[in-house]
Amino acid sequence: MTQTKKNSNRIKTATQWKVRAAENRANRKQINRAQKFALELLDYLEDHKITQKELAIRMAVSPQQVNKIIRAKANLTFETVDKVAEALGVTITSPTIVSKPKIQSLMITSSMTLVHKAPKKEIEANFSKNIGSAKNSILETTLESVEKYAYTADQI
Amino acid sequence: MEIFTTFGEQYKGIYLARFVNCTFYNTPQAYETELDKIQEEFQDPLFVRNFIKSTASGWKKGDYRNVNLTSLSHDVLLETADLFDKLVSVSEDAQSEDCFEILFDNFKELSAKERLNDPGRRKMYTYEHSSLLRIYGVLLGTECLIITGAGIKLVGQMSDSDALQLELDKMSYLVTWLKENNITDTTDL
Repeated sequence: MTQTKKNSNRIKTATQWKVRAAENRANRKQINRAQKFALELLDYLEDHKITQKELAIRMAVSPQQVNKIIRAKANLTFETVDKVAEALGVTITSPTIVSKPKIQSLMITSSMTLVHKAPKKEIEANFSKNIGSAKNSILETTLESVEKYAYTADQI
Repeated sequence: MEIFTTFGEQYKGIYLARFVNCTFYNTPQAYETELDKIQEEFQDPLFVRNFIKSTASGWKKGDYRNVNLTSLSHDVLLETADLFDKLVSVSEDAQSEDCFEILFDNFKELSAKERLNDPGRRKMYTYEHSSLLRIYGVLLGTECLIITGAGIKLVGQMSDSDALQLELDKMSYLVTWLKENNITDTTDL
């Protein structure tokens, strides 16, 4: 406890990051959208060699306002987005409503059915085909030639 | 050099640095600590994009040289958001300083090449894998870590990026400052 007192007398406690972090977390979706838009806008400006100052003039806003947009610090209203679109002569897609797909889980009555879903391959017997080996003549043995390969126990 | 606690009545866990009167780097006036600076800069699309594009990042020398600039910038912004959301929840859950031990344990030693003769320097990843953002800090005693800064790591070794080399130098500066001022644990602060 004496350690704590000694510290608290000499060290300050950081507060700024916590306040900002809590605010940011509450507005996370909005910030993410603004950051994504800012990155796309920066790409466009760079590709078309348009300066922030020039964009501000075209939008009839202050350069500070443009700076806020590209640093994701501005509240992106439809009015702002329309102004950007008009200034650049582009179309910025409007937000669209897409229903979340409903997940319908099918009841699996028998997992074995799924495992054996592939049709069984029919195997037909083919006695006419010569399946002997060309390299090892002993494997070519027939009833007529088997005598040739008969060995006594002593020979083996 | 100024050191801040992350909460009141603290004598172990995570502390925050502010560089003052350092010969090669000072924390800008606008920021209370280095953590504030990270929070502001790495959530700013303009800053992140310009930083990655700059030679200081080492982007074109590392494994990410063929990855699209916007995609990399977006990943860094998302990672920073995740990091601070996590820090807030850790901070809110704090009933005592115990919760900061979780964060403390997440700091690992630098790799052998970057560590040199100083095992006191530490790094923390935001994610377990493919983390672009690194938080850097210095151990004080065995139960305290002082955050000195952060970096976007797009290169193999820290010395391959000017910005990350600066983070190494900041850590070394703090280690020296602590030694010079005979600060061996938080009770000496």
